Amino acid sequence: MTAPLAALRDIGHGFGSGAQRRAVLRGITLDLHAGEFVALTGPSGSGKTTLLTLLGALRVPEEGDLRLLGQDLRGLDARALGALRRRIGFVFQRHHLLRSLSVLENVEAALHGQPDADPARDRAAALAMLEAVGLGGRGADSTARLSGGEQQRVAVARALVRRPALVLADEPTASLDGRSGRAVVSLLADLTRGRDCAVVMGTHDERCLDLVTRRLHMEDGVLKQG
Amino acid sequence: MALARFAALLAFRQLRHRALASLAALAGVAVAVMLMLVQVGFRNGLYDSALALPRALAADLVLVSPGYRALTFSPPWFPRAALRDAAGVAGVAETASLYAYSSQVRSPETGANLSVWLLGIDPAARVLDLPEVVAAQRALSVPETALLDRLSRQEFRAVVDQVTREGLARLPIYAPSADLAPVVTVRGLFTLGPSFTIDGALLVSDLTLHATLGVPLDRVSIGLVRLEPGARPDAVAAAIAARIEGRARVMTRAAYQEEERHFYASRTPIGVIFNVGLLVGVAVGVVFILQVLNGLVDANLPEYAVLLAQGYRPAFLAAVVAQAAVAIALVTYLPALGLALGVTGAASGITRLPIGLHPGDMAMVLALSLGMAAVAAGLAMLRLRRADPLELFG
Ligand SMILES: Nc1ncnc2c1ncn2[C@@H]1O[C@H](COP(=O)(O)OP(=O)(O)O)[C@@H](O)[C@H]1O
Ligand SMILES: [Mg+2]
Repeated sequence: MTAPLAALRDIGHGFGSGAQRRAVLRGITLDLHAGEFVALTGPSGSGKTTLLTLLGALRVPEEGDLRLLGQDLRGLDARALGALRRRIGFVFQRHHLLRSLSVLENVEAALHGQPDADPARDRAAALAMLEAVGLGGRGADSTARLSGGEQQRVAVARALVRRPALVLADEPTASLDGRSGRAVVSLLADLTRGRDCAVVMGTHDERCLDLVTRRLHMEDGVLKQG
Repeated sequence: MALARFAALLAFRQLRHRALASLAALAGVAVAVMLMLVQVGFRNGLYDSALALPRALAADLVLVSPGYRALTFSPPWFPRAALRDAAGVAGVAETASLYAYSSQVRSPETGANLSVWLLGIDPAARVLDLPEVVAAQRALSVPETALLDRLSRQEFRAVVDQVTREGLARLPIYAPSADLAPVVTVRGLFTLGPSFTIDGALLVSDLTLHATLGVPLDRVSIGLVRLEPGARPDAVAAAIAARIEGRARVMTRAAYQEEERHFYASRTPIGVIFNVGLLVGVAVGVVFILQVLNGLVDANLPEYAVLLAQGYRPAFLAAVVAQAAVAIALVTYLPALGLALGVTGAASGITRLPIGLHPGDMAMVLALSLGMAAVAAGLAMLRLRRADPLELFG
């Protein structure tokens, strides 16, 4: 088996200090491999989002070892963290598109920051990605003219256009109706299948669980393999 | 570079997206810049009007009294003998005298007292390089004859009209030492321009000036020295200074004009007031630009957080804010300039002062405006710290 994209060993994390202190994650040990589409389920407040932010290099764990894409997170400076994040794609509960940019420009924006940016090639990649999420003809549209489901599909395109090694989605269907939600999750599944890529999706949405390859259940900061 | 282009595009689009919400603050920036331009225009009116006479002097070198500060009211005099001595210095072609005294005339229209300059010259000498003066100055040898500056303030309009219509107008001069007010006859017009301090200017012969105000003609206000071709002004000025031994101060034409300008810029409260006005404009401009930028950052914090999550560095966001600041400065500058040209044009029409804007001033205010944008951008960047990808998670 190849090296895992993310390797977590005995991760602990909490918020607050002194009497206010609350441990939110405890003893998390987990390997994520390319090709996996992981659903992270669990009740509200169980720590799903906190785990996703650790996997996204947006936080450094207080306890345990976390290796992301072959790198130990501890001791990375801002530049190295930025470089690491460029290999991670995020999809949030709300689409968080850039309102003043067109649909196509939103997808392209994910590419401008890359060290090997190339305007012509990036535009082609963004157009292809829009095609792939079923919004081929909508590139010039303002994001405000799209439905909620379409906006979230643009967010998926934006997260995937850089061909990230790791895709992290936090409740990507929570703001959508069942049909649009399922469409978004199946896009995530289809467009990452067969690529050197793992997806972790924090969700409450039981209806999409048939689309994933692995289920993890979180209960009070502790992980139970499903 | 693609990244810089994207920063500019994003700044412009986000500004445009909020154009309506920012309209009041943008108008504030434009008004602040407009007021700065108008200030500069008024300052030019002061400086240029103050320099109109110094510029007209037909002189390569200028002699003034050691106590001379600037050509205001009645400047202190120096002895004419010093000018005669200067005439003997090698390299000097000729010399001439200008007598400048401020006095008052009675307005024939309203009876009000108006301040005037009585400028006395030898009608046969070359003193003022003003075409109308050169053409008409011989006529000044007739006693009690005067030429009137047609750009004298509105209060002189009736006199100017009368001279234009009838060829002459009589003006009583206020002379404290005389029992009866002496009267001069204006027989022509010339073009100089009013100053902030004096309402009008009358050109008379030195003898008429002597007869009218009783001033002795060995007391010269400004001595004019013209050099022989090829003579070096600095060297001749030094030689004259050595010869006249402190009875007068000698300057090159350029140094003299610079000193006149400097007097108004730094020695009078007027120059200071203009500079303070400019500073206030800068401060107000910074506040309004900051208001636009803070609104922009606040409205786009989640979008900036997304960019950070995508691996964009905080410096990129700083560049977006900087680009927005530059865009605000540029976009508000043109309407501000248009308004300012309208205001200064109207003001110069009313006051007949050379109020107006030179290209250098426009560039200077544009630079100030970009400076305001830089300060405001620096302050608005502090707010960018609140853009945090963690805030994007529900
Ligand atoms: N920044 C924070 N500061 C303090 N407490 C937090 C913070 N983020 C999350 N928590 C707490 O940690 C716990 C887990 O939250 P979260 O990871 O968001 O769970 P989930 O995504 O499963 O709902 C919750 O009790 C929440 O209140
Ligand atoms: Mg959550």
